[in-house]
Amino acid sequence: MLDSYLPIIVLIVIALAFAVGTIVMSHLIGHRKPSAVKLAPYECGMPLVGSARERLSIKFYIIAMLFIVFDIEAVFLYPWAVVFKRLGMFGFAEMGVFIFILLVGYVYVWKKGALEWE
Amino acid sequence: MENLVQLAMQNVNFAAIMPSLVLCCFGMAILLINVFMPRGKTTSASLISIIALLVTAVVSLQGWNNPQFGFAGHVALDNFATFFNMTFLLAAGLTILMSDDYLRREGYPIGEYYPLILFSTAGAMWMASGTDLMTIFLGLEVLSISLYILAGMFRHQLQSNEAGLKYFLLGAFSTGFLLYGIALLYGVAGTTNVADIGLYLSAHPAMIGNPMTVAGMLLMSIGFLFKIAAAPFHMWTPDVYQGAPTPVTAFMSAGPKAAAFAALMRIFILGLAGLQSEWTSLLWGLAILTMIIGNVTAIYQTNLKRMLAYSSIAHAGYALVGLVAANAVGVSGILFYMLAYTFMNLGAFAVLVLAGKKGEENLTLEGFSGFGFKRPFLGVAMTIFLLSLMGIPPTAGFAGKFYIFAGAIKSGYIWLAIIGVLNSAVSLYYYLRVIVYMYFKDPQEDYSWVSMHTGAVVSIVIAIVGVLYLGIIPGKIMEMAKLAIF
Amino acid sequence: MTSFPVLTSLLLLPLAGTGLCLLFRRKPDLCRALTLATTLVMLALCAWVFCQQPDAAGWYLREDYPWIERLGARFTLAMDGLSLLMVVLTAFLQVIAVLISWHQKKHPAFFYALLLLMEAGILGVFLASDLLLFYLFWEVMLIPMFFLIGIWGHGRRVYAAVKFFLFTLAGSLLMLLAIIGLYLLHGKQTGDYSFALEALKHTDCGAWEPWLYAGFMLGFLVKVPVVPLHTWLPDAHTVAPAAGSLDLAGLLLKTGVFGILRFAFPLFPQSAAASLPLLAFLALVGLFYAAWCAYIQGDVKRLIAYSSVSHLGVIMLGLAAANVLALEGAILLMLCHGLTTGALFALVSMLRRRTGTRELAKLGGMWQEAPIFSCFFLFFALASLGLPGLANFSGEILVFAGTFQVRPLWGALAVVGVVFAAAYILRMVQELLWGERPAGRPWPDLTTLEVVALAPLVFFTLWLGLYPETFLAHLHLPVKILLEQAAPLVAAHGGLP
Repeated sequence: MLDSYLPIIVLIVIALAFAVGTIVMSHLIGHRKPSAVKLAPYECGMPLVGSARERLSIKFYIIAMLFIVFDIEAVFLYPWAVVFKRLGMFGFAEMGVFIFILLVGYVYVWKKGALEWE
Repeated sequence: MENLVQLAMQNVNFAAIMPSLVLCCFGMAILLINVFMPRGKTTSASLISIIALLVTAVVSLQGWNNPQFGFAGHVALDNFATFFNMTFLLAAGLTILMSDDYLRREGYPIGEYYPLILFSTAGAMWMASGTDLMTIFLGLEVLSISLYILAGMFRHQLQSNEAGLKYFLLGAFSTGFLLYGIALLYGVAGTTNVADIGLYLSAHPAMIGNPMTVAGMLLMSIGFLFKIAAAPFHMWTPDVYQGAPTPVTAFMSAGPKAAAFAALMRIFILGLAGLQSEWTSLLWGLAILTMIIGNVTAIYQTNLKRMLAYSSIAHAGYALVGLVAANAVGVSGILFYMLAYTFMNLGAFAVLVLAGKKGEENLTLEGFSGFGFKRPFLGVAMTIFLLSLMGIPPTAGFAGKFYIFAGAIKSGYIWLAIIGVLNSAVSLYYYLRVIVYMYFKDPQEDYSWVSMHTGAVVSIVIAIVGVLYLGIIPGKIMEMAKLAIF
Repeated sequence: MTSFPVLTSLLLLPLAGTGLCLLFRRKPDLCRALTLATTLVMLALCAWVFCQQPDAAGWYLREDYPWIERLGARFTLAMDGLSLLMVVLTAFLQVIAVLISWHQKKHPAFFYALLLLMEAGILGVFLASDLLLFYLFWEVMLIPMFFLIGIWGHGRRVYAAVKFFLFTLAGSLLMLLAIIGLYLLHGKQTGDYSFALEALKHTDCGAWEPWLYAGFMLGFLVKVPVVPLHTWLPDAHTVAPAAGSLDLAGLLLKTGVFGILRFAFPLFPQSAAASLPLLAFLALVGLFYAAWCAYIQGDVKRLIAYSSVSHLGVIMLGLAAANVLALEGAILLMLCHGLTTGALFALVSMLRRRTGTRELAKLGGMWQEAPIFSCFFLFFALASLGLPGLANFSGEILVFAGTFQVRPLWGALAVVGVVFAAAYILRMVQELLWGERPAGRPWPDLTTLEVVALAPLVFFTLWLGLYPETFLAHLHLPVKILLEQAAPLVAAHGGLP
């Protein structure tokens, strides 16, 4: 059974060898003339604007977290919907509880103003 | 599919999870109430939380001598869980009582505080009543995540930030170990049910010596010992205890510790009884190490919160002695000890809550000079709690240590008992020093900022009554602890 | 025998007094009156019991209530002749303690509360007939003493208080282990898990006996104190307030000896018998060493503290001789020592209150300055060195007679030790009463209240010296029972009576 993994391993080895090889080769035989602009990160011929270590607004994180929470809800709803009929009332009630709990969270988040951008 | 649903329906037994359900419903309700209340009005939330805890206590007591099982062997509300539930509820109740005025004084009257305490109490309950490794893990996570937030709740205080972050990082790390241990045990036994693991191991004795079993056991112990704050997994304790808001520290020292003990006991005694010689020798060494490190380091502390943090490490060591003994006296002794420790430690923290200025810079030995005479009630209360922590009769601490050491001697661990007793002697020194400062030094201040808030005073009075009741007539509770073990 | 629970009320009365004192802490006068009333009622109760006759087994009173059923621990109080004398001494000295601290200025209510709490603890130790209960009181009595030294002491009070607490508690923690060990051993053998002293006496400890005995003895010997373990005592005495010193010397030290007689000897007779030479050795070393130390002290109170260690050497020797005469003498000497040394400590505190110092070098000429004080001081000093006709003599002579019966060498050495006592006591008396009076303001003589406090002590010192039979009568039966129960003790000295 392990045999079937062999091609993958070979592929990984080749890929690694290629990547490492290119870097090493360019270090060894490449001709270098460093300058301030060239040594800057993301060197692309344009002068830098500000620092790369900029703080993002915390709102992005909050939105991202909220997205995940409600995304999971959606993910959970799909399989439930598929077998909904066979689960009957029991399944319905269970899902109702689940959504209710999320709703509490939603109301909380809303009232707290986490959804407002300004 | 139909069968599956029916199976699931049959196993539904809400009575088994009713205590935590009630608590969670109240928690959500308080969460919603809070958002509709103006900021800073948290008194009603704290009152509702107290009601929630009382209702939960009543519900939980239904499980006494009336064990409820459910959800395919995932949870059991047996005597063991009920006893521990009472301990958690007590810890949460005392914490909430002392919190309201404290939060206002420190400038963080945050309504979310109370639901978080309730949720973490519910998590602790799942740990105590979980009969499946996954349930226990779930409880641990709910407990921990709430506590991470609570520890870092004072957003503008650097120490609180440090506490929250440190607790979160190390906690997450230790949870990883725990989960890995669970995975290994699942790999061995093919089940995560604690009792089934025990059955499997007794049916396949060959697997007991298997490295995978032993590694699973070890990794899982790390997860729990971290929460218990046993050495060498105790490094987080002092910083987190010092940085976290004082009532949260009080709760952390009692609730999660007891919860982790509950889970550890259920897993080790029911699930891993086959490995008893392995875990006994492991815990034997760790108990000694924990007692020594906790007590010796506490001697050097001048900040009282930090000192109580080290002392809580030491107390975890004493309780581990009971688990090493692994007989009825020792194990029921742990249950008793956790309850006693809840009373005495939360009482001591409640005094600290009242004695602190804003920012709590004054909670040092020096800051307590002459406190006993300026604030007689708090002084006497603190003295009682410290005597109890020392283990002087007639207090709860003595009764608890007595049972635990009696258990150790009964199982033949004479040396462990002697080391434990010597450690108690060491601990006298630093507890005594607080009393020395409170009574023997001349007051530098008149402690005019100390105002006797009703909530905190009530929690102190409850704690005093508990400490003395458990110390003078421990028979009744001890009887219950005896009934509560497997 | 009546149905009234005398023993329990002996414990509850002072506790109630403690509570009341804490409650009325804003009214010091009321507290003082309450405390005195409580101690007087206790003394009256004790006096009543003193006039009773014991039953055939030697018990005056016995009370037994359920306590911690599951462990087999019961709230058992019992009073035989030995504990009767100790209880009477406690009740008596506690009245004196209240009287000599009548003008307590610093936190008076708290002070009286602690005095009463300590009385409850000490009485509990003398009365408990259940090992767990005994241990409980054994620790309880430490805490008030710790506070008395630490709050109301002079000089290095914190150091002395902490040292006192750590020494005595470390000793008693090992005793706790021994108690648990004995309890489990007994339970395993008989199936009856019990802390009752009478039941545990029949335990066959086997190879464990020396260890359990050592655990008990360590707890007791620290309290006595026997010489290598004595270092807390001079420090504690030096700084303790008057009432604290009185209780410490008069009562707390006695609990150690009492514990040996009540628990260690009857529970582990074999080991006890084997340890008698060692005990005698320690007693003699203590006798001489402490006498020597006393001789070179410049502080009067410290001198008396060391003399106290020395006297306890004699008492321990009586225990080591372990025959009727020596044991009765030792117990009698405990009473005498409680009175005389307690009185000396009280006098030294009065002295300090007047002169502001206790250094012999800075004192002198009291005979001229304060004749009443000097008379009292001389009286108790002479009693302390064993002048015939006064208290200590009757106890010492019995101990020596008993010791000579079994081990003449020990007895001979001990008598030499008493000569030492004469040396240091006479030096102290000479320097204090007749030495050159340093210049300074006059020192007033004793007040009426102080005389009232000391007079009963004089009375009983004379009584004990002239007619000790009143007290010895209560001892014949308990000592006989003790020696019967611990037969190996007698055998250790070749079976002499």
